[in-house]
Amino acid sequence: MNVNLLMILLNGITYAGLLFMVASGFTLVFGLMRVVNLAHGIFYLLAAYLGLLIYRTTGSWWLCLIGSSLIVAACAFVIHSTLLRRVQGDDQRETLLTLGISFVVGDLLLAYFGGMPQRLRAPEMFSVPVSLGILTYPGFRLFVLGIAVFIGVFLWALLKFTQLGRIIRAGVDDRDMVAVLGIDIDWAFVAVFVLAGFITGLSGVIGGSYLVFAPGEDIHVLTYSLIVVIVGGLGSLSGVALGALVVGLIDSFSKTLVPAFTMFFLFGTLMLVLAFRPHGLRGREK
Amino acid sequence: MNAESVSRRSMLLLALLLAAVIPWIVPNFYTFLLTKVLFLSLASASLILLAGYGGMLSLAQVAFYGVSGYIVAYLALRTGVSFLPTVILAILGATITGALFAFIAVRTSGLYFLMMTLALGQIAFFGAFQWARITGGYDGMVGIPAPVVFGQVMASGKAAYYFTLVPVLAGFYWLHRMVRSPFGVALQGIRDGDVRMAALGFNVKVHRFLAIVFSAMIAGAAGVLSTYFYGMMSPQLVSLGAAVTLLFISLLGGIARFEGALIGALVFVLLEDYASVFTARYNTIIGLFFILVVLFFPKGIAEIFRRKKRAVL
Repeated sequence: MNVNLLMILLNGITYAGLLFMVASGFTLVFGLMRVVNLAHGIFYLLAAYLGLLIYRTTGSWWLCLIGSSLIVAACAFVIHSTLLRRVQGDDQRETLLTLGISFVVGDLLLAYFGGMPQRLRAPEMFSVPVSLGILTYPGFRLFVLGIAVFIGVFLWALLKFTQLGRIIRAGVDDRDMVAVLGIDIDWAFVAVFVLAGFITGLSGVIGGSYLVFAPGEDIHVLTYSLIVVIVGGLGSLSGVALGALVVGLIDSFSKTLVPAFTMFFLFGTLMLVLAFRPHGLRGREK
Repeated sequence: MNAESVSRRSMLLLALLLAAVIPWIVPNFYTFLLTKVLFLSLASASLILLAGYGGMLSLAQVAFYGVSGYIVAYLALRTGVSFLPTVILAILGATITGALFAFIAVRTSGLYFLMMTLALGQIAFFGAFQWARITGGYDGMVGIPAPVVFGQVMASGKAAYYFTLVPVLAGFYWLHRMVRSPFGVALQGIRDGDVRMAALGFNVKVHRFLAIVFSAMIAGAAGVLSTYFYGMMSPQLVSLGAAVTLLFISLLGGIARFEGALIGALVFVLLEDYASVFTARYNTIIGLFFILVVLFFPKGIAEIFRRKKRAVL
């Protein structure tokens, strides 16, 4: 196999790892709560900037990773209990509220951190190139892929084996029935929203060390998350994995071969998938 | 004709008269702001047609707005195409974009539809950035000459106002007729109960398709007016921020009726103008207002007055 081709392929797969992390929280929230969390991108960007602050004060990347994710999870909790809860049950207003939040937080981040692109520095141990037979590859990207697989397995196990997972799966199918059965679904809503915030926080710090970030990156993240979950099928974890792989590979190949048309290719894929499978590759008819 | 409709009619006439003479009464700066109110309200009306009458909340209006805006910018700056064909091509471009999008989007509804529109809007935004050879990329395209209509250059503030006023009034009139036509009534029926309408023999998808196409056409017309007004086109006008602005305007005025578009645009333009004098963070202020409106006035601020009126009667 051609070395360049292999490189593009690997870039696509590792990028897919990042996309999976980013989009998994988004799809969980949508699947259970029926909220299109349009503040999703801003959670990512907030985590990256918080990471920058923590890194400047402590100098520890691991502390950034955990600290930012916890703070973003806390923010998610506050947003849920102060704003979303007030209009619970009205999907459209919940969605519009998240849009307003992303607008405000995005503007405040711009005011505080300025418009210059920033980047987090990953620990030395990850910056060593790894030799993979015919080519050497940045170690950090393989680490990202590893984390993505870990998160994937964690979420799968959570959904499959825990009580919360059972409630979530049942809630995705029919949340009214779950509530009628006397299960406290409100608690599950909070848990999922906070968990999604935490995972998005993780991916913000990891993504901020993988790629540069600047104001506006939130919208980029939101768009890619949307495309991933629409292609994969909303609310389905395996759909996110498949969608991330498809989008990651298309992105990597088109950015190398025809950079001006990446977005057109992605949208073309979206249209093709929806034309033949309106509920996405792994989605179910409701 | 009952007394209420007579008074409505005279109110409308009064409003039209006021719209016709107002540039001669207020300072030029307010004429400038009012022109902005006009094309923003037309863009907002295109959203109200979809969201209020069709039940399809959309973040894609800026994409249609952008397609026609970029066509105007490109034709005016890079080719010698004259005014009328430019406008026709621009609106045609927006309409075709709307039709292509609608072809896929009618398969979805509710939040799925919203996500599709968001995806389209973002693709237009990134497309505007990436296709720099045509769109000018980040810098956009500046220095678009004022339009020449019937041999007159529409350069002054007053001319720009009337140049905007006429198509906006025509647009509103068309929309007003549309929602009272059999098509419009069926569309509202579909909004309230698509399964029932389908059972009654209405073709739900075709109605939704047409609503999206007409809405794209109106949004395209607003894009033409905006591009001539600013004399420029940039990705900023196609961004999510612009989509939020449009949504904000429509929600502010009340998304259920076209009048809301005018009220919303008026309040928004004044708010933006005053807020930007006091602080560079006017996006934060607009965003906070947006959250407050969604939380406390889901039917728009116009509803306050309507509620009061009902309490008196």
